[in-house]
Amino acid sequence: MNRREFVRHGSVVAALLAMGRLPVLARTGDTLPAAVEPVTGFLAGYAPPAPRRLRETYRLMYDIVLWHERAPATGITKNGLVGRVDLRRVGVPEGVRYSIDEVRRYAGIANRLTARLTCAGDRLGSLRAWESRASWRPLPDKSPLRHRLDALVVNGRKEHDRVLHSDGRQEDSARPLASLWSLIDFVARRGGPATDVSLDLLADLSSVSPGARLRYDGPVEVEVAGKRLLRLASYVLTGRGILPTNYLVDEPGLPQLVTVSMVSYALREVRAVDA
Amino acid sequence: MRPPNIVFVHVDQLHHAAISAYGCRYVHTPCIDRLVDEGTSFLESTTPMPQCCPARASWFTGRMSKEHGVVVNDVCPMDPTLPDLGAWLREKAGYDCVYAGKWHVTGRNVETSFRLLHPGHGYGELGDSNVARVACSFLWSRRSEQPFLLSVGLLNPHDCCYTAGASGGVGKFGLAAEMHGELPPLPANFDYGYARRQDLRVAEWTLDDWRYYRYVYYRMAEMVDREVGRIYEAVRRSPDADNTLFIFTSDHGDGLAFHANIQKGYMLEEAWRVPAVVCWPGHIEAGRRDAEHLVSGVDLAPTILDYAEAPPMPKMTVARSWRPLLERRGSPAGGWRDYVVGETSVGRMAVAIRDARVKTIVYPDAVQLFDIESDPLEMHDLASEPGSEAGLARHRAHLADYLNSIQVFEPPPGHADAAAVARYYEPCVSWYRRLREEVSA
Repeated sequence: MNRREFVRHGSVVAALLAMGRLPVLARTGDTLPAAVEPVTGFLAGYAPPAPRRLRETYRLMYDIVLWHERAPATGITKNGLVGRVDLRRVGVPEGVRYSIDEVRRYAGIANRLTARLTCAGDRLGSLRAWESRASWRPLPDKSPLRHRLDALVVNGRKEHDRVLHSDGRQEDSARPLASLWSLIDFVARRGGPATDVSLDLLADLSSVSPGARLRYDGPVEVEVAGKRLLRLASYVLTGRGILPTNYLVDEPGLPQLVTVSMVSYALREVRAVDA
Repeated sequence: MRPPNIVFVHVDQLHHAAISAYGCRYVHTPCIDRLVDEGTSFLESTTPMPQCCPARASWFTGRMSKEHGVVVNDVCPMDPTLPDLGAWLREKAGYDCVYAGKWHVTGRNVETSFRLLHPGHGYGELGDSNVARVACSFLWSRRSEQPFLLSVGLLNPHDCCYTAGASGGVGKFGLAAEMHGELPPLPANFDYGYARRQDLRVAEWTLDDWRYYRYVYYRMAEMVDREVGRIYEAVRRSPDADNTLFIFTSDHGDGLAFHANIQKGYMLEEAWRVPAVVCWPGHIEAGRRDAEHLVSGVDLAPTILDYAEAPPMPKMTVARSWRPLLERRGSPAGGWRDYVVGETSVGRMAVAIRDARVKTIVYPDAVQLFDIESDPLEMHDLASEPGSEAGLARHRAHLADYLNSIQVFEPPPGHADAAAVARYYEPCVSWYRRLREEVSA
């Protein structure tokens, strides 16, 4: 926020505070729960896929929802879409394989990250090996991407309690290793009020955040498009190098929302895995 | 040997002590810790001005804010006649000057001075990992023998401005109560500041909200730590590893609940001081923590030019190269500075003078004086107490020396941003003119 914005917003906030009309920050009970705080403006237009139970094999398409600002008077955020994630899960002989294709569009550039995760067939779907490839493509109109960038490929694997990255880094990981995306399946199909697990997170598919905790965070009700009430179970992921991340799962077990802080993910579509 | 490649990685709003290597128990920054282990840290490092645009303009010009003209974010453009590091190194030393991520120097298009690889995004959460990957792609795919300056601007922990901004932000502060046991405690000077505070942005915060702010801030510091580590690892494993100087710093600090403050723009230690680490295995001593020399972000330009064996840019009045300190080549010519100055034009204007022990903050209507050695948390303002006269007199002389050394930018008549200049710039330089007359008298 620049100084002008600061002064402008500051004046508005001060005036509303003086009138006793403004909760400065959303708290549970004041407005919407913390779990959906970053996407309150998005929810009114959100048409989530119909509730359903996920099978072993599925394909989930998420929109990436960006926070822009929060209207001081209403507490409602302004949100916009900046990309999408295509997540596929299939069973393989050694366990489970995820394919992730994420595109974040901003600054005139399509920033793409594709990855393949190989996971064990255990309860958490622990990560065993992964491949990631980052690439950049100019979008039409005034893209600043004028210099060629080679795609960046980084692979990794977990051996015993060590994570070995192909760029040479090595990190300790004594707990089961998970990623933001592999945890979706865990909360969707194995979560419940008793959920409270300790794990290591491969944050951004690049670095180990050791000692993370994923726990049940209670029920959440939000109103979405068409004034439809969506009942969700919230799970919160916290830990070193992780902003509190909420997974919001509907009653049959469809993971509808993943909210972080500036960046959140909203389920747009469930497809057959070969679609 | 040809001059080294230089990788300058800068983060945004990192508190000088939010680093585990320096003893902070509430954050884990293994990658910055590695820099501390493999390089030389300046523990008495400050920003020329604790706000993004002015500080960054100083990095790239070697001039203080009233010299380059960028006195607040976004509205006062830089003196268009000034050279900057990118263009200067390219033209005078044949460097390939490339940039990725946050630039934010008002009035200067980064592409006039650098090859822009990627502009990044204003939110670290969205853009930092991508910017770091772009930097790694550049480092690994480079084939040229031409020396390069790679400047990488990472955003976090600046996202704290949005999670706790004036408009409320996106902070999940509702989690604060249920995470009570995991939240870091408040700093020892919180109550001191809280009793004096008037910051309406946080007027309704509970103590748990304050602690939650710190919790999230530390997580953001950890997030940017891994991006710093990713880039540093790429440098160390690149073909140019042996001939690459790595510099790490932040544009300014953050309140982080010290003195019950958030954000920046003022001259207390939490906003003014910044981390600064320089690594070059085999050339710069590893693991050294220099608590003796007072350094500033304004010194980065002469330091980089010195290592690049490029001529100095004109009129870097108070900026000094760190190279003699880093290489321990005896006393720098003329000795090192015995005081450092920082200034702010955000909100309440101020100029701070710091020597080895004492710090003075001069406002248009007041003066504060702290004994930093015995009172590092600045909880005892000694300005009006008996015995402070000598310190105040010494700093008055330093201030006179400083004001007579800098060359205040005078915007030409018909300046394109005349309204902004009149509103924001002119009050600053008018005060400096008056101050110079007062302290020089």
